[in-house]
Amino acid sequence: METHRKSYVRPVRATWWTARKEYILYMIREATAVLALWVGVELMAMCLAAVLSADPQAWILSLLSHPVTLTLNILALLAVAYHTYTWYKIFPKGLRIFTSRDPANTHLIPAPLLTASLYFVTIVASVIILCALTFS
Amino acid sequence: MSDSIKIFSVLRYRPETDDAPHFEDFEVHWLPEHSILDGLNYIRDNLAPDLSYRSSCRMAICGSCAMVINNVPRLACKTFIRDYENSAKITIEPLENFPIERDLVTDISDMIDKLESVHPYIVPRKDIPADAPSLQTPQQLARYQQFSHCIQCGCCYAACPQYKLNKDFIGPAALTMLYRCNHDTRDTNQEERTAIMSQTKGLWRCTSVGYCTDVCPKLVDPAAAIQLGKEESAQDYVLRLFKKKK
Repeated sequence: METHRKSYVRPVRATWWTARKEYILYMIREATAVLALWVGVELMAMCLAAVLSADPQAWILSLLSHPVTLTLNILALLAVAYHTYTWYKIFPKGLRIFTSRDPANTHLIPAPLLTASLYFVTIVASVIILCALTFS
Repeated sequence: MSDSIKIFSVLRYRPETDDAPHFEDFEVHWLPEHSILDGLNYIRDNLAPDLSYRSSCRMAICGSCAMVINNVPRLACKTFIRDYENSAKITIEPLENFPIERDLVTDISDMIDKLESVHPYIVPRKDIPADAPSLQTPQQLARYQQFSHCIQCGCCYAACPQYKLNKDFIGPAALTMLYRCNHDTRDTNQEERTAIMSQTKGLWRCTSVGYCTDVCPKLVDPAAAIQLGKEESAQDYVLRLFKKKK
């Protein structure tokens, strides 16, 4: 029997992630790692300055008040906030807890409650850390 | 027929004449109760008798008519033309990430092989007679029931960017099937399946995009099965470390 079978495999282009909103948001989430790298470099620079600089406080203050540093740090904060949001959103998927151990009970703790608990802990922890830094 | 006309822009590929797929537009007469599958049937019956696509049950049970509709993997029988009333045209493409055989027909054998690779069946206890009842409580059933609704349509594989980039990845439906079997109290094959899901091409390849769950026509939530599997895989890894130390 004659066959014309010739499967066509669609090429994956470098811009594949622009095809859908969900992929773009995923790539933004992954790209937040670049700003995390920046924060790491910044911390390392400050640690080195503490050891090597004659006046570490002045050096660190000048670094942190520079417009480029300030902009990058604000962007890093936004990136962390977005990254946190994406993981808190997916968090309930990895947690299936029944409301009781009763064998007849099939009700799970609702996902919004699990996510809300994470936001609550984050806000409380942030307030405690900010207070400790402000009043110490 | 009503006077309503919708343009269907269908990706066509005929291996005997075409080197690459191309879009072809069709004018489809439709009624509010018509699905995309009805629209494709209209095209085949009236405009292009050689149009190829898969379909069977027409009620979102068989999963045959999965295709990409306006850039979203969906079942053609479960998607209605009326939902695209404001769109100038409806684009219809074969499932992504699978080779196209002809028009909207893809070769999904890679997904089927992966489903088979996770031992998608219950391995019962040997100390219980085969004809003896295997009772489960409602809670035991609820642990896996949602994940047993998968119809293996392939929408999640078409949605998965990890599968797009790396065909080794076992993929959402197979990992969901694995989780479903591992959490059935009648099963005794968990150890073997846990080893399958924990391998490099297993669930750790998933980067939690979550689009598989968004497109699942049966609300199975493969992303949840994979996240739950990751938790168990991590626990299994740690427990094995302690076991080795003994």
